[in-house]
Amino acid sequence: MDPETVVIIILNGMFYALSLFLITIGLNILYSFMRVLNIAHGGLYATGAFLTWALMNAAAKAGYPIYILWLCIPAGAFLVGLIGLVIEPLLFKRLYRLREEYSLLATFGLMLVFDDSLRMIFGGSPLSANQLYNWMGTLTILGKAYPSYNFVIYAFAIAVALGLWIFFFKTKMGRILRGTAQDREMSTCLGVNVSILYTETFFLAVFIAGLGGAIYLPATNAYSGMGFEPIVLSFAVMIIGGLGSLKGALVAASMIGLVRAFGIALIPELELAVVFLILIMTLIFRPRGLFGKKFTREEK
Amino acid sequence: MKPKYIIAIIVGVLLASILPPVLPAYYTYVLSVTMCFAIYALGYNILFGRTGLLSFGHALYLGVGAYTVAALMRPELGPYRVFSMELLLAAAIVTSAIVGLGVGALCIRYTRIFFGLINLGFVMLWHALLLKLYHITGGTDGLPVYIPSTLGITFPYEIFRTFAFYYYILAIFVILTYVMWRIYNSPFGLALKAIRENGVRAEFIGIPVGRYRLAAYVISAIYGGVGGALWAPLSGQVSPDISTWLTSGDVVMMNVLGGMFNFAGPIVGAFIFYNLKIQIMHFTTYWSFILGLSAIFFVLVFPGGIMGWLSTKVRRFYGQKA
Amino acid sequence: MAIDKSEKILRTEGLKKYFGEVKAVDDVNLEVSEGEILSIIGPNGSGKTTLLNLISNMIEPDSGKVFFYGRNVTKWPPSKLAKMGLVRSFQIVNLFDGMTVMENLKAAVASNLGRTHRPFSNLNKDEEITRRSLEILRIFKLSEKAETLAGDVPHGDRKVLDVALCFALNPKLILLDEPTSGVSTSEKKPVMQRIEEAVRKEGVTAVIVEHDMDIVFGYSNRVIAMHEGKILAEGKPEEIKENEQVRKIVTGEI
Repeated sequence: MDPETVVIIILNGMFYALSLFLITIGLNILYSFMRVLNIAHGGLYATGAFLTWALMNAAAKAGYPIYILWLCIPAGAFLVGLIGLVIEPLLFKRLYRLREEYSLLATFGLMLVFDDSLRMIFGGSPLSANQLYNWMGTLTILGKAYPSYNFVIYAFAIAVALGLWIFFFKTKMGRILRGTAQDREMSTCLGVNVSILYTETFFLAVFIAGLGGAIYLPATNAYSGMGFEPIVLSFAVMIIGGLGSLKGALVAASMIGLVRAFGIALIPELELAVVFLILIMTLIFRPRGLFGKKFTREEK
Repeated sequence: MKPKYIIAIIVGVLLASILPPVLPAYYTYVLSVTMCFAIYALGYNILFGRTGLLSFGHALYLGVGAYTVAALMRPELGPYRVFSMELLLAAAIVTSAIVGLGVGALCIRYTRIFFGLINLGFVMLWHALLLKLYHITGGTDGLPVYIPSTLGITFPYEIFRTFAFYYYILAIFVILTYVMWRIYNSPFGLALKAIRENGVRAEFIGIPVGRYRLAAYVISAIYGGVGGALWAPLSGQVSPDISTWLTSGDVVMMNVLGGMFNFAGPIVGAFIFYNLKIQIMHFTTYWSFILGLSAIFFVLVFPGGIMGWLSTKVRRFYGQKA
Repeated sequence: MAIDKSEKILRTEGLKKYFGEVKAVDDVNLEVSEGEILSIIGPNGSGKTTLLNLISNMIEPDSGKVFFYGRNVTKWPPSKLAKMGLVRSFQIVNLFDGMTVMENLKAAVASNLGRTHRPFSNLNKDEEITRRSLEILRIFKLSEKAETLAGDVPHGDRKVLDVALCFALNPKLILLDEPTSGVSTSEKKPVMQRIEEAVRKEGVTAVIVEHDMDIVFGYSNRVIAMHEGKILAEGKPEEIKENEQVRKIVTGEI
């Protein structure tokens, strides 16, 4: 295999990995802090893609300049965030106190609702809005053309990772969040309005998922059922990377993305099976994941 | 068991027995399929309602059972084709037990919620393999299933599907329900309940929690395999559609709907769920939407399901955390 | 399993558990003789509960060993320990709340008798399990509450049930973690008396972590005082009572 192809494969792998990362990180936040595993997160990712499509499509048809199209991306994500602000008090607030398995069933139901709703509203055919992608053209890397827009995605995902790291470890709100995750009662005693904190956190997690869908739209398209595959793989990322670890999510997502890309290039039949194989290996040899903490007896 | 229950059951079985000649053939077929799912759901509940482990990938075992039957009937096997339903069932039990043991051993080591998701991963892996290994599995089309011989007799197609096999399934359903009843009322069954209530304390009173969870998992796998194996000749065709995350979610819904803390809950749930699904699918393609809303509704309002609402033991199972 | 009666029933060697900087248990060596009631006292944070957790393998020690009748049981899973006769109760009540009191006990008795391996025998028809469970209910004066859900029973009874579960296991050594904490003062003596009766009757060895000094001095054969993860002093209750260091550290409790 020549070096050019290898580089392209790596770039493709990272391309996929970062979409996984964006979904996983939101999932991770919700689970680590609120103990809810939100299967519907995939649906929010898909909603981000579809809403952004609607905005971009309308903007392009109305003949708005390119920078408006760029703005559609955060706009679409923001709309998804707003949806989050609606479903959090309506549904998720009631799930926090339930056993984890029950909330899983409820978010599973929510995922189905999102998926079918998107199908009802946008129809069953894939929708594309490639204007930005085309506008950015291509770069030549080692003699091969590579879409420049993809680098926007890379830059973006890194920015998100950095931003979150700063938020959780360097800001006051981030610290309050981490403290509340450890001991909710204590936080309340210290005057933290946990309820509002949770709502804000929910918005953040959902916004990132929507942003993920939005930023990938120009490079791919929005299709019905697009939320499911990333979700299952995101769980794999969470397990392999270790619960509650930002670093782990990034590393595991990269790993899975790269393995998948090389897998597709070398042995196309295997694809997903390879990822699941890694998952199984992790379960056998290191159940807590790469960066997770050891389980105490209570958590078993 | 109290005498009045025994009488009620005998009456119930008798009633069930006289249905085929009375009902239109289609309904007998539907009832037969429902019983297969009831077996699946009943087995699932020993893991879910009794031991407290939520698996989101149990449709794996439906598929394993169904494909075992289909694979053993393939024309390519020539003289080695198996047509005896009894042998096919035995094979399905063996394959689902082996897969259950393997997958279970891996999943049991993980914490509760990830237990469910890892199972989801396995059913998706199975699904992917079914699609990719199309030389063996028939890919998206799947494999045809031929009429097996039941107790040595091979019935003609129509009679088999809408009459004879109904009784066969009914008999197995009754037997398996009885077996499950014995398990529930045994010391082992109580130990499983203890594990659900408080896994840590169960360990400290001498119960080997990991091993028992695995045992419950394998039992539920076997029931799923039997359900799938019985369903295969009924439907005539097995395809990867039987093992998706959606059909895995179905069985969870059946149990929650019927009432997971009640022995009869899964059976009630399977009957209601499956028949409702058929009715609703006549009206709209957006079945998932309705299923999703119902799931949310039941989790928030009726966690004890129908049987639970009838027995009002619900409040214990809102979680302990604030 | 074979038991070497010439060995001490319980012995720890160099047990250490650090949580980061905090030395929860710092090189603890203790011995317990068969049939005695040993109390462990000390201020909060002295490592008493952690020590029990290490012995019962709720958590793993960073280093050190635990010997039960001379056998190294440091890494044994709690279920295996329970079958050997080493059981414990919990400071924060740890029951099967969704099951009735009777079911709680039956589970323990069935486990002890090795019956939980049987998936087909009828629990309700098992006379031995029922008989033993009723007997324990009687000893601990819980008979009236038999059919009540463990989660609905008053707190004092829940603490007693927690201990009763241990006795249902036919233990040789029982570790009691603050058995009277959270119990109202008027109830403490009766609770402790029920425990002591059972201990003396069944010839069980008991290690009790306690804060209530009346209980400690009223019921123990021997007392160990802990401080900052180490054993400060040990001896007969009267000796410990007079010990200057102990009085200083455990000020306000004597």
